[in-house]
Amino acid sequence: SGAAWARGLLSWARPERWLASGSLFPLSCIHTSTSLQKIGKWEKKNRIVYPPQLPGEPRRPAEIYHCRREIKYSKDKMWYLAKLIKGMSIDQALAQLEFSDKKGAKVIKEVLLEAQEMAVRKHNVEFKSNLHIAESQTGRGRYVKRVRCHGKGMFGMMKISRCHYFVKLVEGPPPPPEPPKTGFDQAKEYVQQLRNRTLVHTL
Amino acid sequence: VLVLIRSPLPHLRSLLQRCWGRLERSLWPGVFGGQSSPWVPALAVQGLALPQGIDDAKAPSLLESIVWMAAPKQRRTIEVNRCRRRHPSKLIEIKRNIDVCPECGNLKQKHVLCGYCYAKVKEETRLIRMEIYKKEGGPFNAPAVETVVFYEGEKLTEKDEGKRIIERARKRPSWFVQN
Repeated sequence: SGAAWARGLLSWARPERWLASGSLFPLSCIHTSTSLQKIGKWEKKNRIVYPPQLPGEPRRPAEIYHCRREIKYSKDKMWYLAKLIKGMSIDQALAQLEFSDKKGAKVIKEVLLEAQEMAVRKHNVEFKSNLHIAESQTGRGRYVKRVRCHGKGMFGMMKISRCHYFVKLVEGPPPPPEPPKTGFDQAKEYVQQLRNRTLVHTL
Repeated sequence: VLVLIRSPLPHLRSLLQRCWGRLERSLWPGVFGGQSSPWVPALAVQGLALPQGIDDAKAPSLLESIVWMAAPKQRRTIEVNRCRRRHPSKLIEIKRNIDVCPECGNLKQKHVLCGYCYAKVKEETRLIRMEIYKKEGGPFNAPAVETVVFYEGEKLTEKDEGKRIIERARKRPSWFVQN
């Protein structure tokens, strides 16, 4: 039993378990990041790795996903700002947000600047101005119910709303806006629909 | 031989009609427009504001007002709500009056001073004011002469003879023009 104890001690004292490969500092067995908090789906989108491209393929533009959670703002009011910057280049979006009077504009501007920096540092983007906003969405955060006091001892329940903001930056110039649908196009579609009609369940 | 028999019925009928008429008149005096019976009051009063009437009238008026208040008949569907919330008049318009400041290169609105340059000037003004406060030593000590700010390496000239001098220990900023 003494020999078994010594073997157990030696197996515990294996040096390769202590040091990470290639460094002199010992490994820590403690989880440094909080694994109890769920990592959101949007954050995980940055982790996908595509297989290497073939020589003839066109270059895949870099995509950067960034978000901010539990912003103290209403999701409906934030949606107007998200709709404003959808499809713009990042410089134009930053300019519009800088001079907007809304509270959420400051938050979205910070998020965009963070995402831009992430793109340049980690995602191999060459020019920080060569980004455009492909998607920008808002989501509902956790609501909290509180008492709102009225006169004469009356009270109502108010809800303190929070929201999330998600943005996807893609490398390259912004896509040209779609031309509005003319009446002629609509008429052509209608005529095509009429022509596509066939007889069903017949010979 | 013809025998005419006179039936007593018409006499009976007229007698019955007269009796019935008298009965009706006695029971329903007002119908025939005759004299009113003693139990109807002589004076017919209408619209008298009695104190009891107000209390009785309060409850029905509340109920009536509840009945006439406007209220939505149907729940607005999310499609209808979206049409209203996403109407172009409610969306934020993009601003087309944003330019680049020629001095610092930051963005500025055309009709507004550049925020960066303004903050820069404000900071310098604050430091000059701190120097003035140190020189004066308290409130209400402002002299009745003009003030001139001198940076490093600047000396008195003829024009600045009788003026109060404030010294700032730094190089003159490029935007602060010296007379």
